Amino acid sequence: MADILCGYTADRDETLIAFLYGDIEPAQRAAFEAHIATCDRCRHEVAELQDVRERLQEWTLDEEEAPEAARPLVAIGSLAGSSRVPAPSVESHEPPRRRRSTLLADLPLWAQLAAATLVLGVSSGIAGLEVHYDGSGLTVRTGWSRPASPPIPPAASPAGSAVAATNPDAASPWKADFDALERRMKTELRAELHASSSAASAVPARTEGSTVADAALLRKVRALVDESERRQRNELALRIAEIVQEFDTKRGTDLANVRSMKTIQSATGVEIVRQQQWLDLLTKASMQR
Amino acid sequence: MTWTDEELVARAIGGDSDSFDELVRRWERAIYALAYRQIGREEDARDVCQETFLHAYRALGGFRGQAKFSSWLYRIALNLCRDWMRRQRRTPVIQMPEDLEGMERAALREPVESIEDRIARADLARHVERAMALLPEEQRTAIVLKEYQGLTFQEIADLVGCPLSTVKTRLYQGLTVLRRQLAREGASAAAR
Repeated sequence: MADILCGYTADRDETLIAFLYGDIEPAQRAAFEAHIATCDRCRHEVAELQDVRERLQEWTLDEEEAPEAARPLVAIGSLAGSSRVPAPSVESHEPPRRRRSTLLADLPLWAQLAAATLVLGVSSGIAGLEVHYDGSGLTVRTGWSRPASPPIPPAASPAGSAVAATNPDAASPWKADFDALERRMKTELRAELHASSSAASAVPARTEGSTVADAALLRKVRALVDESERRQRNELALRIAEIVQEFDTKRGTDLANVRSMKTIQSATGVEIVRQQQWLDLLTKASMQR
Repeated sequence: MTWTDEELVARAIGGDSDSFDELVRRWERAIYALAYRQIGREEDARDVCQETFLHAYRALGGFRGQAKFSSWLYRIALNLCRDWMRRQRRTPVIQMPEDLEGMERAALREPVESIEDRIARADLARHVERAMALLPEEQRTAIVLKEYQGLTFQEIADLVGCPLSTVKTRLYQGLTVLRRQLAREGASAAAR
């Protein structure tokens, strides 16, 4: 079709696009309609480009993808609050991944701490982390080291199901432990805060006190995570040692089996030789007769 | 009461953080869609989307209302997409999940149409996405803004900073390249 001559004198391509999208002056539209009534090339091209436009509408994005895109920023105003940072030039940017950490660094300490606590809670829930903090000290145990408990039967007693329904802690025992730990840590931190504020009463320490409390809480959370990691490393080392021991035992058994097979083979060989000798003697005796 | 974008901007500048959150909710889909269709990678499109709103928040005080808020937002997003492409020094990459082919991708959608139709639709969408990725940036931008964001020729011209006639020419060239590319893909698909 492209080789058919078109006698349209105005800006053909631009007019064609304007006509295609319906964004065209009425007079220009009328002129172009009159033109395509007689021009096969333009009529054909309009139809083809319209077809391309319809094809373009087939490229849809999944609706559920979009909400995730900027969801962390929905609360950007709330998080940043009044501490709005100076506006940089729109034209100059750092790479996005680096910026994301900058955004995190811009958050106040309590927000970072809340995020860390949330991550810790979710991670421990997934990993089956069990945390006890009582008079006997801190105990951190992973799901790997805990004996498998039988699943709760689906037909539990009505009272039990009512408890589970009304008390989500019953369905996730780690949460209760975690809450207990959190309460205890808060109590201790309040005590520490009270002690520090009374010791330095001359200092207007509302901000400093909360900073100290935040730092102390952060240290404790980090200590918890470190303790959990140390426990898991120990368990891994123990498991590896067990595997090595099992391997050595199995290897010893296999070696013993191989030795006994050699003995059997040796005994069989001796027996064959003896049989052959008897056969030779019988052959010689029969030939002499 | 529904506030206009510009009213929300004014309230956000005045210190109402909820107003900016509302602006994010209102425009996040459009900005993500624009970024994804420009650069073709989900993760990077999300980054660009976040960066767009972050820049907008930081520069909110400088928004004078001479243009629509959406146009201002689009301009930030397009600049970020352009920077991303410069950094990558390559054309957009069409990202397909490695473990999901047409049938599986189609099966993930809501069961409102037959599996055959869903597969066919996913296949057609993939063809379009590939063809779009092959276009020069200016042509792709013009088509994305016109077809998917629904801007007028004049709005596109203002946004990308070029004459109206250039926008139309880019659209014409882009659609023409797409027509050839889709015909080629259709022919090769038919041959398979």
